[in-house]
Amino acid sequence: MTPRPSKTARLGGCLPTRRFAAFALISAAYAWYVTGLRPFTNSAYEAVFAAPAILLALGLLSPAGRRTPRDPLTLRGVAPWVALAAAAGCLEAIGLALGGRSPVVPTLSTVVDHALGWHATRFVLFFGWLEVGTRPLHGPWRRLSPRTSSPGAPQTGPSL
Amino acid sequence: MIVTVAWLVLLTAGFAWECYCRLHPGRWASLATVSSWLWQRRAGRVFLVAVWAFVGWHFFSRYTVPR
Repeated sequence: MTPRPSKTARLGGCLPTRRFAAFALISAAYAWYVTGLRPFTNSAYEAVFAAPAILLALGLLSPAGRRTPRDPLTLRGVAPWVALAAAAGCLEAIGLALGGRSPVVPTLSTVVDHALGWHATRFVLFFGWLEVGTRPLHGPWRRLSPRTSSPGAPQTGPSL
Repeated sequence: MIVTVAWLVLLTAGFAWECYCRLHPGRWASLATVSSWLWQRRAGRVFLVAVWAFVGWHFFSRYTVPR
């Protein structure tokens, strides 16, 4: 009988480590700095783009591509996500067709703009964005370290 | 106002569905599973990073606070 994975493993996939804590601290400092910059400025563009540039470089070098997925994907399995994306796409298209700043049919960015008025909420959202983006890199790079990797351990794909 | 609520419902539904899929794996694919599947292909990685970068660029360097 296959043991059921723990709730922590199913939800997160990776347990926190000292390296992860240091990474989170650096990310938080970076997020606080970036969210303090004025929008539509070169410094804001450069600071926001630095993270994807680093992630893209690490992602292309990451060994995750050699792993097998945890569950095979089927069209039926992703149908709810397709439905959600279609609904969001319709709302966004209607909002954009009405000029993008319509108070009756706001776009997603207009809705999110309301939350971006405060530095604290900008920080939380930016930190979440950074965490989501760097999530695939936590697992594969951590598993390569001699302290955490084991030859008999099951190989699973990274979780976002 | 109704459409704003619709956006919030959609975002909440997506978050709740992701939690459900992670807690009951097998039948439905979580967003994490879809991302893992994409991440295993070089083109998929570039696509994921591009979507993620666009979201960051659009929301965090080009936002306008409503008056």
